[in-house]
Amino acid sequence: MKTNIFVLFLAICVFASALALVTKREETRNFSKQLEKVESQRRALKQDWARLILRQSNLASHSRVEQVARDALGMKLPEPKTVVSTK
Amino acid sequence: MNLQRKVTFDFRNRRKAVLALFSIMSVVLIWGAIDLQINEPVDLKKRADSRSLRIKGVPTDRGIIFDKNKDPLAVSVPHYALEVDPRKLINNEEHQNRIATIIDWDPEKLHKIISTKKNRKGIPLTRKLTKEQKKTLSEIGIDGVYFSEYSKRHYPTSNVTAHLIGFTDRDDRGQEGIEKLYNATLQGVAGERRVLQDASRQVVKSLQIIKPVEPGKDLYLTIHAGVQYAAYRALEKAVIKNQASSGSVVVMNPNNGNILALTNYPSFNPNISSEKQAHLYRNRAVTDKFEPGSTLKPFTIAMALEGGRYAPETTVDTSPGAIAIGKSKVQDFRDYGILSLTGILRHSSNVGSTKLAFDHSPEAMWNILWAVGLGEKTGLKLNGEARGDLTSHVKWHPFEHATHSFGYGMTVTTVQLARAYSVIANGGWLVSLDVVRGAPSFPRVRAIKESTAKSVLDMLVVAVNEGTGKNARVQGFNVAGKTGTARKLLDGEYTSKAHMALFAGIMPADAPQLVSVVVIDEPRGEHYTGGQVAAPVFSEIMNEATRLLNIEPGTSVGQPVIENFATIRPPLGSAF
Repeated sequence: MKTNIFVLFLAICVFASALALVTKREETRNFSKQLEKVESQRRALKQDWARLILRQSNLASHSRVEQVARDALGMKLPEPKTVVSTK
Repeated sequence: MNLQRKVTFDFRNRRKAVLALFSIMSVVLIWGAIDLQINEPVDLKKRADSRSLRIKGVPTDRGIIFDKNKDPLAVSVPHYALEVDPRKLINNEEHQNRIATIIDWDPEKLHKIISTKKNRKGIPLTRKLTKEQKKTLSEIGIDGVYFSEYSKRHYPTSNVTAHLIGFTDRDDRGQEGIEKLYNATLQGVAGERRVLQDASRQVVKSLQIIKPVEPGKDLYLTIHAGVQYAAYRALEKAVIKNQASSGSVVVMNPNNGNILALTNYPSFNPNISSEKQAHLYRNRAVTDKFEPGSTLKPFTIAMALEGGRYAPETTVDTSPGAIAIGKSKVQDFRDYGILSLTGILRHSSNVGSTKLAFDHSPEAMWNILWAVGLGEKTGLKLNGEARGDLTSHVKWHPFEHATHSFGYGMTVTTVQLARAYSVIANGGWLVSLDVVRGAPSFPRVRAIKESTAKSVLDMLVVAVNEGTGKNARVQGFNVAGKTGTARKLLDGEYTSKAHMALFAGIMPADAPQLVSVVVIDEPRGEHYTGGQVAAPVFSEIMNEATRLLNIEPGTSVGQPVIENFATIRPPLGSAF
């Protein structure tokens, strides 16, 4: 009788382990999918950021600022003699 | 007895039942196999073909290169290429028109391409599809339209940093400059995943990540984009104005060896592939060696001071303005008579330098040049960096002994000269140069005594204010520096028709924060000397650099400068 109960217990354990294996495998698959989604989001965001900083950099480039200041706004660099340093 | 009875228990019926069960199962399995092979093979083949396991790469983006203030110098941005299958579009004019409208093409042009290549599987249309155009085309979902993503590198500072940053190829791999040197760091490692895909190679399901993606790392340089721009602009102007063949400028912090600007002219625009011509790639400031001429004289003075027998006020008789060494002759511009060591620098006397050299051994001369980092690489690790030529003093003839004292018979690079001047600027320490923040660097080593460095620094202030370097002066600051005009070798002989115009300077002389070297190769205009051609470039760059870096003005240039070192240097912390 004792042996039968033990065999039954082992059978239940095997069944439970099989179920757990399937569940965990599915979970892993889902997590992988999520990870992949998040990584592709991160990549897309970084690409957008790269586009934006490139645009910002083009707009704020020293050569462009100088050109706009000189041509559009009629500005010029002050002569060193006219510069006053304040503390 | 009881045991005996148990062993002889009859199992025959049970065995029969089990055998019957196995027989039935075998028949079912065999029938199943026959059914699969004979009745349904086409359907199964279709299903197998439609879905298959594949390993797909996961792309990674190249890291961004920033300057010291986080301004981008190189950025990778994804672009999209469009390809169409003419076989699927040839009979659908409406689809062709829609595609043409979205990508801003003349519909007739597209019709013509598709009809002439109608039997091809795929034809590339454009590599300049914007993100919005791709989105619109994807949403319409026209059959026979395919996209591929590729990364393109952009250089917002274009010509200004081209030699230093370099560029990448079509596959975003570094080909020149920092891009090549730090390719492994910037590139990252692409990942891999196992996917289920359908017959049209579209991923149906992602199953497993086999290798995780390692994104490319961003790189931070020590370069200051503003100073770099100021240096490039001033250099470009000077090279064009003086009809020179090329020029280089280096600006560095002498206290830590960080390069703030490193630029050359002529340059190229790395954003335009047709401008990438091999003869323009060379980072001259690092690869080109030249004889430094008079810019080397401060180190001859340093040698004399280090020896202990000379003080700044010690005099040397340079009369009659020439000295014969065997069959050769060293001469000055004119007879300067008796000069102090400061006077030798101020008048840039070759005879004075020669007499100092002859009063010391060749070994002492060689030692000082080696101590300030000449004849060895600077630590930058940039591609093609030259060591310069500093031959062993054992092989020197007396004339070579003399020429080394005023910068001939040996060669240096622009970055080497800047490093050597930083020894004078920082109190006698030889620092390792860096252009990438956080890169492993050698610890600084003492090259000359602090007192020697300070004395030479003060003499260089006189050389600027009263000597040949007047054009290097910067309003509101005390500048130290030395000009150089080196004749070039032509067919083995020095010619008076081709020169290198040089200026090496230290700013502000009261508390040095910047060292800059300007090299203009072969000026062919009205002027050709270092004082006329290179010194104004230094002044222009420093005017901008002091403003950009918030360097406080020190002693005014307008103040009288006396050849007494104690009075030149104002107390530390004083504003004017």
